[in-house]
Amino acid sequence: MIYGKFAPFIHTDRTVSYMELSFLIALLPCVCYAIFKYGIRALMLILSCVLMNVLCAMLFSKSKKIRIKRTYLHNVISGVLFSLMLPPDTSLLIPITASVFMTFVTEVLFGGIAFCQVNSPVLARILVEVVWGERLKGFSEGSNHWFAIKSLFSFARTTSSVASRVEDYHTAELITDGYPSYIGMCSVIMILIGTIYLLRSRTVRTAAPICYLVTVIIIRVSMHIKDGVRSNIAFLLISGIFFVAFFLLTDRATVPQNHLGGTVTGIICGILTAGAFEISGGITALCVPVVMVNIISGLVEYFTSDASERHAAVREEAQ
Amino acid sequence: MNSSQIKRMTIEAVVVLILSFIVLIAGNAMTSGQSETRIQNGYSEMFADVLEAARYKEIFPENMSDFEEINHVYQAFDASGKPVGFILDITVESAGNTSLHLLTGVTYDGAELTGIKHIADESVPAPISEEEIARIAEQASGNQIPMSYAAGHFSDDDGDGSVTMISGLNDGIYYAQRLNKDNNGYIDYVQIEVVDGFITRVNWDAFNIDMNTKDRIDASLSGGYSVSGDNWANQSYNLCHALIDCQDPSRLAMKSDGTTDIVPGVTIDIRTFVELAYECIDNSIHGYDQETYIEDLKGIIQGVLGSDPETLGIINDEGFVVFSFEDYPNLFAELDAAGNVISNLNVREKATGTTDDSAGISTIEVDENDVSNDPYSVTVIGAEDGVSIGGGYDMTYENIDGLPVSEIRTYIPGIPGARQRTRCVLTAINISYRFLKDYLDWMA
Repeated sequence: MIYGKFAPFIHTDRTVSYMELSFLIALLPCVCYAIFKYGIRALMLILSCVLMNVLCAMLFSKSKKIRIKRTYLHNVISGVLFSLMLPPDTSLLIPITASVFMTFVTEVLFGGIAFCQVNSPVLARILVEVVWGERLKGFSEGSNHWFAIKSLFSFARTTSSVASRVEDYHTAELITDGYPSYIGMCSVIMILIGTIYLLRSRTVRTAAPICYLVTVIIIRVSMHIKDGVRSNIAFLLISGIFFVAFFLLTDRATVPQNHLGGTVTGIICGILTAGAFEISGGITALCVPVVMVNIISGLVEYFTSDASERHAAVREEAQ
Repeated sequence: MNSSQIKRMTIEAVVVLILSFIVLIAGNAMTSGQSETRIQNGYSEMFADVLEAARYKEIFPENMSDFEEINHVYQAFDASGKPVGFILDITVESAGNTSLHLLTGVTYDGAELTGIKHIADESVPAPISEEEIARIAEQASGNQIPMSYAAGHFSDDDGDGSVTMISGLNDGIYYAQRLNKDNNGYIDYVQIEVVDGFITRVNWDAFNIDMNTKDRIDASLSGGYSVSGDNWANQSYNLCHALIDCQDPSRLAMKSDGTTDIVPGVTIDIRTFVELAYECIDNSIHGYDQETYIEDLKGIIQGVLGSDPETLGIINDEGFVVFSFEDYPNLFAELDAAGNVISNLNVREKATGTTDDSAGISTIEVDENDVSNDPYSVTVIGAEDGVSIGGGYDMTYENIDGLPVSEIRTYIPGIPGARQRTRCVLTAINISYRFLKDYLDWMA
């Protein structure tokens, strides 16, 4: 007998609040890194994203007279995730607009958090990149302008500061201090601290992220083997794929949670990401594949969960 | 979630936070040296052509928000940590949906442009080629900002299509300095540059006998030297520009008290300037250029003191001889047979032993069509009773890039036939000036 399940594909005894809170704690190292490296403007970007997301969700709930008790933790996470994918010199106008868009996608287009099949922060990030790409180039070295907030109130087109080439960075720097990029995506060590917490809390499945990383690494290295080990290591450390793997592909609502489904999703997303990096690079190469696998996640879950459950039943019979 | 779960997760969050900060601080401490070296190497590579310095630092002045064309501002320091100038990263939007991304370098206290560099990363085409930018950079570097495009035309009050020039000038750079210091220890000097027989550049400044003291222009800009009226640097500039306009010191209409009424903003005694300008012109007529002048002056000093000036340490950074002859009053005196002083010789006359009469300087009128291909702007207004100032800039503008024309310090010829493209670069330079004027409170 075939039966289907729809989002949110949750198979755990942990509560939703517990999982969301754990996820939020796992994001704290990246938040710390953003503030430590880029200062007050990063803090204000994160806070504005969170507040606007929560505010929009509350307004929407009120306007629709929804009486369901909700914690808005999901909106907090969306806000934090979105803000961590922004360059440090982003205007405050962008998170405000993106928050409205995220609420619209989640609440109106899909009918609520539990039904949203697409990672709304990722979709919002693609939107702002497409619409305001020229105004999202404000990468900088950070470190010497912790109190600078001018960029938050300027919507002018920005140019990059004079940043060193990746080749000039010591590997230790790339691991600990990151490369001038999006505020929370490129410090591998911070992402790994968050990941360790997530794994310890047993609130995420690892099939999708691991398969994603392995796929990207294999394709990337095989295509760029002539570039040398240093170049490939630098790519892994600064491209943001660890952030995508552990914070976007572990989302229970938008990624299949059974092992086979996660594996298939991770591999597809990895292939798409590696291919996208050959074409363009940047945030679109990271976000577009995630949205694409989100869209097909229901289908993947449908087919793969049936097979996995059959195997589980066989195993149970054998025991 | 129950309260114990919330309590446990709060503790976990605090632990994660503490751990994150420890890792961040430790990582930063471990790599900060490498980071600083790498950043400085990157800056040096990018900025060395614009403004050479031992160290650069990006700064975030509050008034940057008033200048939307300015992307980034960097301050440059020498090896001792003393600020030497600023580098501004500017994007100028220009006509035809084009934009120009430039780096400009400006000295800290002299408002002097040290260099321009094009950063070819515009999202739309740049309005000017690399070769043209390099040509403008060559013309503009080393001169005071703000700047404007020189008119490139000649005018004459009589309307007869002729311009005035001094007869017999040889092309080159000519120099003359006072032989005695003034009451403040300054030794005045004048430099003129002659191109195609026209005086195209004039500089009047003074170095101090105490080589640790700033030159007079720098001292006046920083408040260390003051005169009545406008600051000395501005007055010097206006006077030099007036000489370029009129080509003949006699047309500056110096009165018996050494002042002039016809050069706006100039209230100081211009006697020294006029005398040195005449000496430069005399040197030009005799093909006695700056290099020969300084070498001969060194020779005279060696003859007097018995040791060369380099050994005595009286050559300053610009290569000028810092020496006052007041202890040798008859050294440059021309004596008659009875030993009476009949005149004073200048350096050329002393060194070469010839005593031509410089009063023989004469001017000629030439048809402006004969000099219309001259790359430099020389505007001469030929009223016999004096000089009218102006015309070196484009007369169609009352202000240039938001600056009054009177504030313009340098006129450059730009790219012939490419006024708009030249203006685009000049706009970036003048934005640098406006920003720094505001930031450093110049002219305060």
